[in-house]
Amino acid sequence: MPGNPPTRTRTLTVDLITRVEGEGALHVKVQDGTVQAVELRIFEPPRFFEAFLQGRHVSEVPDLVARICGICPVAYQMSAVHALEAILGVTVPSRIRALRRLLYCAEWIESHALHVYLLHAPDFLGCDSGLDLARRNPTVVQRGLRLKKAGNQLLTVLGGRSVHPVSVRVGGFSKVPTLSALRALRDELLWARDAAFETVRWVARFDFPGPDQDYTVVSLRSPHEYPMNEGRIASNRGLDIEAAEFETYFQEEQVPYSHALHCTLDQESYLVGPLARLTLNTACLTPLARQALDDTGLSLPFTRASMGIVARAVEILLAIEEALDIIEHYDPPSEPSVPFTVQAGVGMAVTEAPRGMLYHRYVVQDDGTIQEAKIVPPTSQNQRRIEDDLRAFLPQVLHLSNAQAARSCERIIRSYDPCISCATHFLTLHIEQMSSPLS
Amino acid sequence: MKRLRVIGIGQTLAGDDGVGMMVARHLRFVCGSEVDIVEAGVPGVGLLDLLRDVEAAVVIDAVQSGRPPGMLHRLEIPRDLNVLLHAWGRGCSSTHAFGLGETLMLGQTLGLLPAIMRVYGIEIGQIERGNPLSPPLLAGFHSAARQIQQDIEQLVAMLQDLGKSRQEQTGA
Repeated sequence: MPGNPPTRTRTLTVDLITRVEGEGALHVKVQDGTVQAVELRIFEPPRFFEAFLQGRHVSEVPDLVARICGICPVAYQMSAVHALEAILGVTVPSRIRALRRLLYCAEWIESHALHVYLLHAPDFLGCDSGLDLARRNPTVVQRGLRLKKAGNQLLTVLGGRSVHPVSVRVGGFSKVPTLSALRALRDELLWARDAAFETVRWVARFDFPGPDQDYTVVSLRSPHEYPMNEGRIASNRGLDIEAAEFETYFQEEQVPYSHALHCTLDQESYLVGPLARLTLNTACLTPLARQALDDTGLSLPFTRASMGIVARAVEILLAIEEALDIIEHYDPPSEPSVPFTVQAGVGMAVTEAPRGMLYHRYVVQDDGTIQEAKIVPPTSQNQRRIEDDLRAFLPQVLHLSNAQAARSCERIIRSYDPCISCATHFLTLHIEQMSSPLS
Repeated sequence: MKRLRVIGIGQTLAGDDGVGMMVARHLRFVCGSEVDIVEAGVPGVGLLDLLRDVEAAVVIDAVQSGRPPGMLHRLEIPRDLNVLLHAWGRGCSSTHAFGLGETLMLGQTLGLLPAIMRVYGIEIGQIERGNPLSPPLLAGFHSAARQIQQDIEQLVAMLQDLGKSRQEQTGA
């Protein structure tokens, strides 16, 4: 601009961060070699699901929220039914509880297998994409797809179909599987258990790029089992609260540059997801998952987000072991669901989606319709954490070409397995560098 | 085992984006029982599981390229895979990490696609959450669905002829 002192501006743009769910942008401002601002911009209009749910009957909610995400519909259904059951005073019997856990196992298996094999592993192996990895190493990708399919098959038997399951309802299920339908999956799950064990060994050999961070990790924690549907919210900094207290401790705030809300704990970023769960619940790992983790020689807590791939692989193995165990002891419930009478009230629940804690709160009116719904997905909780990682990491890559710096940033972001189609949608990278010392 | 599977994909809660699903639902009523119809939603890579164990598969999806809503695009796979990957880009129906083009390319790379594989893209207007199909798309819906139905009937006849000639060869 005429009259202004000369400045050196470097702009770095990645139009679309690949291998994440959705679209958005990253804007980075660098002044005299120092990173001034890191803004994760999410473009897609905010999810209208919260408004969409208003006026709907509680019995419609599980089917509606399943549509929020094609990858993790079970998580949305589980948080919803638990929050609604808290209002309606419904306690499900242990057999239904076990089936819900089995359903969650299915989702963890298929969601994690997709991310580990097709979205994240290519980063560690010098491949541009899952497709590139498939060309170079078809056997390994076929193993990943078969693992994912094992999860989908389980989901189909329990949920009625492999995407957007339709069997979940308040109080239980519309239909429960027969013993023989579940037993028929046993052989494939036994194969999957071996494949998952091998997956942990495979990913543990990768090189994990930094930055090293002292993460505040948050997940559900329960004394006797690895958390999926139940537990108190815990952190490695001593937090230990009821799920219903979520909004007292966690704050959602609007940021001017993004359509997704940011969630913080004591004004600070925190990490949710497999890495957080593993850190806080190591004591509850299943035997093989425990052994596989020990065999890696990696010690907890993991200080790099990129190591999330190991946590994810361990959780695939855990979910398969648990699924086999539940199937082994399966005794079909006499009734698929518990009846309920509608009543007004407010209910909250947190469950562990593949990507981390998923909070739902509902206000139900006398006639059983939803007056208000609030949904806090894991990706909006990790959003600030991703920015903090990038802020710490960017100084290491500013000497690189735009394309290389952008690729490195993408890798960090992908480590989090962000599901922007839940939080909303994802990403272009824009680095603005002013008065750069770089030539 | 059915030899032909027709798979509708898209998000029915996002206006026109669900047109592939709507066409599949429509075809369920007009196609014969020899055709397996699946309303798959947003299956991502899971689509590959639906392409196994059949001789032919037809995928119906929404596409947005600025042409009039209701206009029908027809791609033969693998011949037109590059069109699907590059011209359709990430597509508008799947916001997920693996779009339709990438998924089919992955299937092709791993040898998972059926012998006959066809993709229909129906040009859409608006993607608006919660709304049904937009009026411009509704106006073109039946013509697009009829065309797809006719093609499917031809495909069924072709598969039957193929089956017969195979039987004859085996018999001979």
